[in-house]
Amino acid sequence: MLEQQLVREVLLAALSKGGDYAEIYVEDRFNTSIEMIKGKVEKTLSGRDYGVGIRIFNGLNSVYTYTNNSNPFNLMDVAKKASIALKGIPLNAKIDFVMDSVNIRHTVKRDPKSVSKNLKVDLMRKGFEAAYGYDSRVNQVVVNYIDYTQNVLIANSEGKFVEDERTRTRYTVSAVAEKNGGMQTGSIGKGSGKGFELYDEIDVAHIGREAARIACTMLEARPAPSGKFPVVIDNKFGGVIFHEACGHGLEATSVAKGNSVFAGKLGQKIASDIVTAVDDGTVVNGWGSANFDDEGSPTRRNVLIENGVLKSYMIDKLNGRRMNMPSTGSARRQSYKFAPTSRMTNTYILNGSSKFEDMIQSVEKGLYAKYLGGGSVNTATGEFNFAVQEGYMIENGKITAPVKGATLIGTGVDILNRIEMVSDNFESGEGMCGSISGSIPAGLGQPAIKVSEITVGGREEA
Amino acid sequence: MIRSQIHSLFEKGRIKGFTSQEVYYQESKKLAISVFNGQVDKFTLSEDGGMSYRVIYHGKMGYAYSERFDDEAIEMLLDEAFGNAEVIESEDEVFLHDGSGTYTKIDDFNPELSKQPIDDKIKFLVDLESELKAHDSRIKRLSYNNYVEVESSRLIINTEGLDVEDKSNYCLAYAMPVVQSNGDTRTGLGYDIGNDFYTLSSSKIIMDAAKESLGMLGAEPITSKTCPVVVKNEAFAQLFSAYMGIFSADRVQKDISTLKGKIGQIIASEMITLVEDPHMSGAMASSSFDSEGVPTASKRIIEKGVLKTYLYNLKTARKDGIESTGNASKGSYKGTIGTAPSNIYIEPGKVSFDEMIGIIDEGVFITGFQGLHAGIDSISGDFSLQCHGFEVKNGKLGKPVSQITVSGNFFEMLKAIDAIGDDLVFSIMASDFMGAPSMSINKMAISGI
Repeated sequence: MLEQQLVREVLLAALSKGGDYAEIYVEDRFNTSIEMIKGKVEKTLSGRDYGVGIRIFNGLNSVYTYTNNSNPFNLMDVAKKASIALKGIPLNAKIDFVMDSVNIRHTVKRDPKSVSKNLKVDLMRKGFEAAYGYDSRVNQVVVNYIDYTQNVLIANSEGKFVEDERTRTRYTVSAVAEKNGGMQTGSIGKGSGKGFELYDEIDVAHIGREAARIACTMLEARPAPSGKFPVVIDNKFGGVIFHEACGHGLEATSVAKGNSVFAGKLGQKIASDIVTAVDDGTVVNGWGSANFDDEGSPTRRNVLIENGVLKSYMIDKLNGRRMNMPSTGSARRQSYKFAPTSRMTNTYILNGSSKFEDMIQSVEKGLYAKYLGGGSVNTATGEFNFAVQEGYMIENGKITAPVKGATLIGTGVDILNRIEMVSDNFESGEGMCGSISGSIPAGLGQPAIKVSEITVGGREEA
Repeated sequence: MIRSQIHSLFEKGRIKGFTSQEVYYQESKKLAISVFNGQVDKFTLSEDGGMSYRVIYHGKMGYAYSERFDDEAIEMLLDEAFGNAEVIESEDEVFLHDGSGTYTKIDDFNPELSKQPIDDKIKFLVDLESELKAHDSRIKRLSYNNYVEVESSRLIINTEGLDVEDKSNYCLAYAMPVVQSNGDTRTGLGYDIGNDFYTLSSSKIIMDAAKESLGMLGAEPITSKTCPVVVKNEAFAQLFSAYMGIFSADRVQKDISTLKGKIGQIIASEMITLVEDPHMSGAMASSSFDSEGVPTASKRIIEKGVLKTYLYNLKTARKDGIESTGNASKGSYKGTIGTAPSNIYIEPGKVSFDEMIGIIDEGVFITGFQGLHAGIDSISGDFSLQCHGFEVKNGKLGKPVSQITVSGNFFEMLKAIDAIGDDLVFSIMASDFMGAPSMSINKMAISGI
């Protein structure tokens, strides 16, 4: 992508007026997206992102600059300007690059760039037909397809020089069902760090039917109840509860400056005994995986919580300096337009020993959240929220009527201690996560869990 | 430089068989500073640009974009636009704007902004941090203390006669204190925005941030109930803006907006008038042309509760047999064309905030929502949102409230508005640059303990 000699010169220029560490990130990414509405391709877009980000540290302070003009003169100029902004003490640096042995863990069998758009469109039509044909009440279906291949080069003044390639594919179906003027939606997606071979392994018609089934089910749903109830949250995307309630609060991004309720709690019990959670950037072809993180450190499997005890944070180099702790391979960014910071990769609650059926049976009156939507958190206060896309009442140990419009809220510290049962049906899901270093693919997952009490934001008085 | 490249691209495209071609070129410069414990802990300086290319081939629109402009990139743009046009199945008629119409001149660019010394901007943040900490001993630190300055320019040229460009800039300073008292932690936000650094007011930021964060100390949930609710101006703008897509003609035509077939009908309380004004002075979303180069115009989208128009771009307008309303939007050069409003607001009423609160025996005053991207359904209109604010008891604001949700239906809510405040404020936290006054709603479901 860039010659080693030029990379070295740019890094030296970045340290010419001071600073103790310089890093360069070169990104070349090709994107394809296609949108199909009611069975017809409505929009297609493809294009190429290309840019270079340069970051310099001076102790705890940092300067970041980026450009998409990679002309050597411009890069040197940008690096020098960044160096001046740092106002540090000049350092006589010497850089000897050591190429990290490339241990490609996430192989792509079928490069999506080599697959014709017509094949992608055929695949979308399958999902459309399955959703549209599911029920006469389904009156609109939107199918979205994206893929991208991101090539990065990351080098730093400590001699690190790595290259990585990340491929992502994603397929989403949204169905709208209508009855008596009321409309409800259902959305299901599958994302992966695989290439086009993903579609040999999954049934897109099933994705279409699931989306349609949720939309039709929600047409019959009554408003969710208001108040505090026991809640059973199912697997896959259900993992968003841990992502919001705890995950963000364990990122050095918030911990380093003390802006997290979990700061200073390493080694302490923060969750009930049955909770063990990991952040694992090494999951083979995972949605949030990579061979190297965006600072060039190898990704790792970090145990965050073991039997309820806080074991580790997710740490990037800059925040690691403030915390006096090494990087955990957790630095991520949307693109060269963002300085990296610690972020989740694939964040999972691991299997427990309860059975899903027993969980449901143990609830006299509560909520079963089958599919969740997105959510958000304030890490300083720990207050989080997330939406339930498909929910049901649990009455006398049985799943009964569907309910709509339930947002679940709580605080991380409270909820983690209220996880009463963890089942053995782990499955993963995929989401997009937005934070200060942009929007990135984040894997999540869990087995079904039972929370003894959580506030359900419905409309009906219980 | 860029113009000659565009013309050479058009020439190659013509040979490839494209009947119309357009380039949307965008450039931006950004400065961002963050100060923590008296030191610049993060400093970002950047310049970037990108080109969006769209073509009509056999009556279909093909899009491609690039951030590189070398020969290889030009070939990629031509091939991808061609390939993308080829797979389009939509039969909607597409065309490009010819540059006709009257363009209102907007003169909001401040050439002095980028020349105002960086050291002054750093000092502003250093002082802001120390003044905020000194303001109240319960303010422990700042989780954000940032200054951002952005300058961007757009150029749209096509083969049908369009050639327009504009430039805009703004600066923004914001701080978020973390306050603690008796083991309770709260945060709040204060910001100021404009296009002249020297007019940014640190005292405004301090007052807003301190009021919001300290006011919430000791907040607790209340019992679940259905009661009158007053929504603060900025919070209402954020909620309304999250539903803006319902006004898009594109969504209406695709049967995914409940407003389909509702032009001329009452969709809100007759007190509600929703205005879009792309030419407002000092506003953040002003422009003389939209993302397809069509001149922008002011309009009433809702007038006294009656829906007057949807938001149109060229394609959706042609489909409905009318002219574009100048609402074509593009997130960046990486996007395709959609629709969005420019500066948009709900006209203020005459009721003062105190009067609004004064007539409520028992209710809730909501000052902020969380999770707006997740807790709303723009199709059914249903929402269930985490929120915070204050209790209202016997016509007065009472204790702070948090860990509650408010649930309802957006379309029902618009009709159930009792009173509109006189306190119109624009919010930069909304998805659009949207303004709203505080609103009183007779009944909403609050969920707590």
